[in-house]
Amino acid sequence: MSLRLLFISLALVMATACSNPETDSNAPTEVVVFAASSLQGPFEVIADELQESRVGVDIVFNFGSSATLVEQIRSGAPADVIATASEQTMFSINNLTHAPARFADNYLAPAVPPANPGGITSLSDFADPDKKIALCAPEVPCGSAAAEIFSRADITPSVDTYGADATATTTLVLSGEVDAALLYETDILNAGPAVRKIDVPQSRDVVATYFIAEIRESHKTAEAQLFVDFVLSERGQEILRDYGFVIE
Amino acid sequence: MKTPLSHPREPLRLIIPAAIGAGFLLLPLLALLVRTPWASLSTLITEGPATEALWLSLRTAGMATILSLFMGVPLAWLIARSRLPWMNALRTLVTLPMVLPPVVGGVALLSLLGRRGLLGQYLDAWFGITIPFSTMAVILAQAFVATPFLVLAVEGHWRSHHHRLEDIASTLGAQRWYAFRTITLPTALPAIGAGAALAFARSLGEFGATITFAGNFPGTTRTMPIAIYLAMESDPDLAIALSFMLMALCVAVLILLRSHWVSNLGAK
Repeated sequence: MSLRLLFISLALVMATACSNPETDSNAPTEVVVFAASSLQGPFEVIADELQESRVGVDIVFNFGSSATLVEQIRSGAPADVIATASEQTMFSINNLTHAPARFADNYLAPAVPPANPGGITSLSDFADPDKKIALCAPEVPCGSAAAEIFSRADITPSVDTYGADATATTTLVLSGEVDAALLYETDILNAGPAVRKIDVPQSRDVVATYFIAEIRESHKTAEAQLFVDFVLSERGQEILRDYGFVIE
Repeated sequence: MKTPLSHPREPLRLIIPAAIGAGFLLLPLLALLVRTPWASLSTLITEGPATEALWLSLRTAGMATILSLFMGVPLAWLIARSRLPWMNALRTLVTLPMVLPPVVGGVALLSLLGRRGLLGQYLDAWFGITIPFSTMAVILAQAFVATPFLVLAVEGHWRSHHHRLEDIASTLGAQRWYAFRTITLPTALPAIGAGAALAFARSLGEFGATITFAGNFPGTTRTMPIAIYLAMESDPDLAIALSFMLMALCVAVLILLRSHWVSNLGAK
């Protein structure tokens, strides 16, 4: 008897888990947006405003490193829109997306905990093996941009750890576990007083370009277009600028 | 064909879910074998990053196992044999890292030993020692998640085996330490071997606590699981090759566990 009950509940669980939520005609259409972790702040505001103005659209985010997101889409993850922090990651899946649009720029800058325990004043301090240094992993856009800054400055950083994405690397400075990291200026700005930016001349040498595109396989073309249009709209660009992104 | 009376046929309603269960556990591993790029396997795994990660994993997992032995065996003895109060509660608490998500273990280790941690801030201020992002941190993270496996294996053995020999030894006038050294410990060697093998395998696979507490840097903290995770983004073939290596290693540990080598240790 209890065994039968177990089977029935198991079947019920399977049925709910496998059912397609879109068959419910009253449910809002879910638009799945894969976005670089540095976009979390402005994109959540954009989604809120969009959902307020358009009833029936529900934006669901998956934030991560652009490299991870691209790999997930390549393996068939059900995304409708992708926004990456580099041109290179976006164009590595250009067979899977519609034409990408550049919608914002960003710069990297040295960032330290408020008390600056490592006494970091210049980019060359990153080469000091006694300082705890974090960079984004070279596979992800903020990491490849950081590597380019150092190679242009002819400095070999003495790295202690690589963060999986921009947010993870920011957290290392926020928690005070490292003396310095190269972070996006937007992430430094939005971390508030818990992270201090160090101005160095080299930080404007390399620009991170953000691209957005719809996924070809998406069946929610109209709603996906709505999100992309909002990001590119005057209001969308204003929100991005509020978060410190550079808008051309 | 006649089925012997003493061995009735297995009921079909058990066979089917059992077969599904076996398939569920084994098919993904089989798929990994099928996807393994055999032709390029030797070049993939002998190139720098792979051997570096494997060597680091073997070294840290070995150290973590030794650390587990030094802490875990006395702890198992205390929980199994001591008449002190609260031992049941202690048993539950020290096995908590087994069921805890490893990333929580990493956060907990940072809270204690991080640069701003409860102990870590004094280590940093007084001795200039910072543990996170070092190979030491990898070993600590692995030992944190692996020691409970060893404790449970050894403690279970001591609890289920009666104390008769030790009682006899003590009536014959043996000191408790002498009885532990000559009787309690040698008879538990198979369980200790099994526990150590489990702890080693668990250390090899550690990911969440390691990446949180020790970070990710090639050669010092990028162990096999972290290398696999990263390779999945840039070079899936390398990720599969590394996974194959790690799986082969774990199969070897399992064979060791099941073989007479471990169970005979005590007899020698």
